[in-house]
Amino acid sequence: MRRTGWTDTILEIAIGIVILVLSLSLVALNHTTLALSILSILTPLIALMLGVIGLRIYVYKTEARDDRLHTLNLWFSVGLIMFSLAEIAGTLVRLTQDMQEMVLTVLLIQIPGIILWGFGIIQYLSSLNMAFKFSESGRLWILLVLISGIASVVLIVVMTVQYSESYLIERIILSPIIVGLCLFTLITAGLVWIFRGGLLSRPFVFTLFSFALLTIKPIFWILSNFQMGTVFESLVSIEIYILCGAALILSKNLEMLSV
Amino acid sequence: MDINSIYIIRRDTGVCMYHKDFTGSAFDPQLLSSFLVAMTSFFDEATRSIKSQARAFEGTDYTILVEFGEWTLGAVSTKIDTAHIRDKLKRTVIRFEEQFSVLKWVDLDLAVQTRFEQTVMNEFVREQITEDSLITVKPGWEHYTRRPDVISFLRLIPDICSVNDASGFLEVPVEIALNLTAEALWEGSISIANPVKPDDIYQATSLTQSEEELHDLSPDAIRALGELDGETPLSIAAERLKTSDLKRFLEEVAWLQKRKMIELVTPSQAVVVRYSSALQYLLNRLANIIGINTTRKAFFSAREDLVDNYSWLAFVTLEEGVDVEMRSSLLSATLKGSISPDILDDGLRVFMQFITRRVKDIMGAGPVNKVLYNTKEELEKRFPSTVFQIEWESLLV
Repeated sequence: MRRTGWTDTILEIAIGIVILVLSLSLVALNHTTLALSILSILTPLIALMLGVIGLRIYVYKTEARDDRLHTLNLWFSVGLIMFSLAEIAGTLVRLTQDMQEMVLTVLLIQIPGIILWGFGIIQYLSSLNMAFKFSESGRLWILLVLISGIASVVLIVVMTVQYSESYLIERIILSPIIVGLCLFTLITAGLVWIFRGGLLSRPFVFTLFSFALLTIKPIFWILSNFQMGTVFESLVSIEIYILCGAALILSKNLEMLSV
Repeated sequence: MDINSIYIIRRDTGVCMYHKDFTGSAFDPQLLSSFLVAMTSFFDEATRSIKSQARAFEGTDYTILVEFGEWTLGAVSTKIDTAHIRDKLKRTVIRFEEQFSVLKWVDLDLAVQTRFEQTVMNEFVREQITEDSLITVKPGWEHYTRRPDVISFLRLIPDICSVNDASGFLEVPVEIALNLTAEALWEGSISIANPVKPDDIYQATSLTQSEEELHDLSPDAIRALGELDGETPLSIAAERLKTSDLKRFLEEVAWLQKRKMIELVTPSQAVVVRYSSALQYLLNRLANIIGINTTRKAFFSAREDLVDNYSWLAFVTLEEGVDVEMRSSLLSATLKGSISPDILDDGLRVFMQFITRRVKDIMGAGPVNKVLYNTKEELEKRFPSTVFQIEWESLLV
């Protein structure tokens, strides 16, 4: 069996690390504003670029409409483009609006991207369930909805009790998002565990890190009392998109693989 | 039974060394053996070929198949000429030459007739008997049954019972009951009827039935007739017809079979149908996990590796997506019986093995085994008793 081509992925990860190191050094040298402005341009650009690359790979094969792994990657590519739009909108809103409204807008425009990624991973899970028969298909959905519902309610209650009234609406909106993201991270971790013996685990490892960072982002917002537009946040975003792009490219290599 | 009689004949003298008649007719075996040897020598002379060309002599409702050993030839009088029966005959001839090799050089009385019984019984009689087979003890069996174990066996069981029941009465393992039944059948003291099973595959003998033929059939039977296409096990046919009472449906089918409106497909065809379902279920599951493209690649690369050894695998292919298609060349070969079920079974098993080994690299061993387990479970619903004829353990990675 031929080995999976790692070149593209390594190149991409290298770019991610370079961006990370450069921005950290800029911050260390007290050029935070410069770092921020570079990152606010780079972040949507990279998300858009990787999204377009993903779409180019996955959208053409129309005969693979029933191919769930393929569809998962397609959803991820569309999600990346959504995120790029969200980043652009976020930057524009930050420049023009006051804090409270800005936070709400930035939150809302993140949602479509998250939903698309989540949709992809959940759809793949249900496809796996058809093959592995973890549980009855209906029961799996009920279980997922029930768990996320209960967890969201609990989180909302905790938020309302624990924190002061500032940004209450934002916290309430963020709670189901965090729960959803945690769930997607757990599912992806499960996928990595299931396929640990095979090549399929490799793209999922990147997806797992991507989801984990995506979960950290809203948690950071809550903990930092909605300090938006920080270098940390931009850096996390850019790394998320790069990791997701790496997963997409690795998946493509898997499809090209001559078994 | 498909076989009427079997003969092992010495090639140079034309003497019949062993014969067994399953029909009870009093035909002189020496007459037939002289005729066969004369005819094969005639072919040798007429065609001037070094190796004899004669393979079969056909009558209206029977065929005499001939297979050559080194110094003997085997002949079987049968209804149809299939690779399956030929394989059996070939094995019997080889076995005979091994067991009585000394007879090639000297003419001795080695009690061939009794000593070779077991081989012929294993090859031709034993396979007709399954655990579900119904034994009917013939009246007056005491007069012509000689073997003491068969006598005690028949004394203990009721006149009509299944092999499973018989093993229960005797409190012996089923395997022993099966062997005793084979011996009793050999002696002619019982008759065997194999009940219609849900995983049997039947085909209609004629596509155009006359009005009178259909006249006295029940509506259910007429509908069943349309579903038995030689590719569908009865369990699926019953499901398609939305039959609530499977037992009644099976009775209808048995009745149709008795009227010769339908017949069981050849063993080769049954193997192909069983494996193509298994392959389809397996590929569907794999495509759900690793995607259609990768599954197709695994399928085609496995086939490419095997096609040198099993050239007929070239006729097993995929249509759109992962839909398995058996090309008509392969299907017609299985219908005619010109490819033996053992070869098909072996080839398709290795093919599935190659596919699972390939996807193991992508998915890891655990998930592949789980997928195989689920495939077996699903197949068991369609083929409850024959699912285990696929060696699932050998497919595990």
